[in-house]
Amino acid sequence: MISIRRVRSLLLVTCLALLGAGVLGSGVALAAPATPAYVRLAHLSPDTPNVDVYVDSLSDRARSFVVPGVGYGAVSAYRPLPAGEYVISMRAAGAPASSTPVISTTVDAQAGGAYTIAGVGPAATLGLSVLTDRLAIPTAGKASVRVINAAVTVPSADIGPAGKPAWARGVKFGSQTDYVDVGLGQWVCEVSSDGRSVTQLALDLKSNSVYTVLLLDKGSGLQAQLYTDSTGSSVVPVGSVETGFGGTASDSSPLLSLGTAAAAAMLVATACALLGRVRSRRAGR
Amino acid sequence: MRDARHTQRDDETQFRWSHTPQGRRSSAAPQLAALLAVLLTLATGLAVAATAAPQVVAGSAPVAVLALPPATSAAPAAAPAPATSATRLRIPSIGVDAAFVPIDVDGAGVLVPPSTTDVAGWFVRGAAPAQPGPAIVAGHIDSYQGPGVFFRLHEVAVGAVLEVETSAGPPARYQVVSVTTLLKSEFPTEQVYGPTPAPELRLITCGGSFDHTDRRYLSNVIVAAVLV
Repeated sequence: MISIRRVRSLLLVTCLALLGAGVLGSGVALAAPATPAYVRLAHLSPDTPNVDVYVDSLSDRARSFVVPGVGYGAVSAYRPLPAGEYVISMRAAGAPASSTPVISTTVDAQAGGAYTIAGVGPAATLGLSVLTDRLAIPTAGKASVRVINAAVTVPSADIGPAGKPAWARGVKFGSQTDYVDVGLGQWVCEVSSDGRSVTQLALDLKSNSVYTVLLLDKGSGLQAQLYTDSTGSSVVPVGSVETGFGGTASDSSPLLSLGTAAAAAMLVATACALLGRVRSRRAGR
Repeated sequence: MRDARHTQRDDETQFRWSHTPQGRRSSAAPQLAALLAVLLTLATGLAVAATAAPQVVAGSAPVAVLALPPATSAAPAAAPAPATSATRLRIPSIGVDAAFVPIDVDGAGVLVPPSTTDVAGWFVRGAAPAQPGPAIVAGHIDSYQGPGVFFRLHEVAVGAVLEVETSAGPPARYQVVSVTTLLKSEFPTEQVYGPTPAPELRLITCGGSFDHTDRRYLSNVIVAAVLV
């Protein structure tokens, strides 16, 4: 006869095995939920033709994927991925997956982190840069803004509000600034080079938000784009939250419970000792 | 720092769950049911995986573009998506099915939970349902008399799916990725309210020991979830 207990343990083993298979075999976060890492991909090399971007998980090949035909100026949405190490490779669009990639790099994507992985620079010296995107709350009353210069037509860019001191100066093609905290609200942001205005960009910066201004070659000119990297609650509450009145809290303080436990232990010990004595007396008879 | 916190959070979660009391289960039936539920969830997960796997990353559009010459008018930055409001919260695995009420901060900047204990509070200055950023939900663990809407929140499992019904459109579905209990003096403001690249959700209630002198719980239970 198979006891219920045995059926239960058999079922449990089966479930665990299946669960293991699920974790290894599926490609989405649902199978192994945990705090994800966020990754987005970008092609920021003006003279590099379209590429296929390969994202290969080192820990689980089933989580690997390909984004085909990515052209200059494309920035993907953030994709949540299980934390871990990934190899990011770029191959010419349509090149076989077995071919040697044009370029590749390894990313250690941390749980709760956000990363922008971009092909940067001129095609001749194409690089893959892994940018850690800020997820911190900006200074109160400010937003965080970073500038990426992917426009070869503007080798060195100054960016800031029109007619006011620049937020970032001398941002070279193929490089990016750190995030700086700037005032909220609507700005007309001006991009200039050698003191000459190149383009303008209307910004509306919200509180507790992080942005990237991206400079791209567009035709014979320059295009500035604003991306919202991340956003938090528009007001950050102070401290903790009082969400209980104690109606279900045990009435004993921790000290009292310790006392109760000690008393219970003594009771049990006494009872055992008494029982033992009774038994030995009976045995002695 | 953020990463370290998250790691710690996951560890704590495992710690909590490895110590879940089993004593209440007196017969085999609930355990068998639970195992069946796991199997079912797994099957669903695999089915979703099968449909979702071939998707490629959708290109995201910049929120503002203004090309030369500046005279050509372009849409100004960030036209906010039409605000849909959250109407009801369902967490089937812990038996939560409750209406939302809007909540806000008080003059001192402290988040004020709902005035009754049988509803969930939706922070009006957090993300809207399914919109990028953290959506914030606070609810009571108990009243003076008995259990509140989030009495069992600390029992919710990583991987559990919850639904936020909205005033328009389909419900937003989120999946739990961490369950944390922290002293209120160590409330993780950055992790709860800080910027996120995608839609997430935080559920907050009380937990830990109760201070009978101050009539308050000493810890907050914080559940983090991501949109699925």
